[in-house]
Amino acid sequence: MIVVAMILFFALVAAWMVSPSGKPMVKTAPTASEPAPSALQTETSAV
Amino acid sequence: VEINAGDTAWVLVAAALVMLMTPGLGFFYGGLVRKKNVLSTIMQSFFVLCLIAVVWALWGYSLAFGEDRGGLIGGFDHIGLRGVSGAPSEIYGTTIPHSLFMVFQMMFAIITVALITGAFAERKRFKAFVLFAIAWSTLVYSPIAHWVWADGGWLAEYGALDFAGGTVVHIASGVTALIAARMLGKRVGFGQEKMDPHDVTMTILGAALLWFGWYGFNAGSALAADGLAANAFVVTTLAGAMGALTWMTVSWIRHGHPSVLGAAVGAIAGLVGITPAAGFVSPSSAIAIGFGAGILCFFAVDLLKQRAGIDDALDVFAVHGVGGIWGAIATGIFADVAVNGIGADGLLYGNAEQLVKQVVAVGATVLYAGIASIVILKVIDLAVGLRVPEDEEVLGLDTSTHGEIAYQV
Repeated sequence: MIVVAMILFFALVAAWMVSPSGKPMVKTAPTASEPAPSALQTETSAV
Repeated sequence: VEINAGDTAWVLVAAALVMLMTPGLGFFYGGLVRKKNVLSTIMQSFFVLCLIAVVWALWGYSLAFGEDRGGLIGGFDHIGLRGVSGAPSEIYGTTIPHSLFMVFQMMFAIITVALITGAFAERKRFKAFVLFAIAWSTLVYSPIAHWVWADGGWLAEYGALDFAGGTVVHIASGVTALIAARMLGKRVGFGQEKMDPHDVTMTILGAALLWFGWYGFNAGSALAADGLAANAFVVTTLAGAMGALTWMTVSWIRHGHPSVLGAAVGAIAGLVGITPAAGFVSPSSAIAIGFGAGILCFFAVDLLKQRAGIDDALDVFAVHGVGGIWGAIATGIFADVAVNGIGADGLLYGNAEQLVKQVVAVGATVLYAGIASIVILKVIDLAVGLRVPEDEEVLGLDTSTHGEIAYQV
């Protein structure tokens, strides 16, 4: 079981390494279930 | 060897208390950053909690507490927690289950890596952080824990005293934070724009959780429900309190206000200072140690930020590095065998040699953690890059790395 646990752990690490990174969240127009961004939210991208 | 129910109950609780320190640290750090990076900062602590738990079980514990190899590192005998069961170890915490000793130590391994994240704040690439956490825990934390706490570890054999992790936890993480801050470089806009904490209340909450958890950290390190644990509880309280009072006072004199944030950070400095000494010093000495930590760490922040221009974003070195070094040295000054018969007397009680031993332990930890961290960070920088691109940093890591926003109001 120790070998299986090691394989599972390193499989996760490998998945993290090949997963996309640095893809900025693209905010489109708010949907009906999603409130429009507030002034505070939009401020974060204005710094 | 026989299990003691009282000891076991206390160390179970203590392990849970130390666990709570890591998300508490996430809040402490999270409040100190700008609001575009609060989630990424909290995530670093929460992620480390999960990551290092598995690393520790798979190989970290064995490298730290496995059979001694030349005083430097443990062997592979406990790999995957082989031989770690509900029966007591013959060496460590002999009145509690071995698995409990292991999980108590796991919480220390976790928070040590989490402490370093304060230096990475607001600019570290997440993948680089993952690799760093695994490599540092394996190559730096486990060996130093072995040196100081394991049977046969060279610093333990030499006679250096570290009750709950002044060298292993605070100096190792603090020095690494300084190296990381230097290698990562300053945040975009550092020194030109305001980078004030976005939520001081969150930081105070984090400090309170850390202080609460520190009772498990220090009093739990007695590994028994006894008078030594009670003494550690008392001195922990007093040093934390004196650290807060002192930092607040110096800040009041220098900046004209009794800073709330200063009181919180000062408490942490005092708690760091008492950590290595908690099982060896009296309550009066704890007051002196907390006072020293408050003064030294306050001026260390000033010196690093204003004079040296190093962007250790959340002052990890100034608080944990300097506080840890002070605590380790103070142990060599204030230690008293009347408090702990298996400890040693310090300088004040006629044993100057103990101070030398403490200085050697500090020097060895600073050198090894520093050099190993440079190598680890350099390799990771070449492999995946340490830092996010500038546009992602300006946007904020919550959005650019995690695709989430902390506040919807």
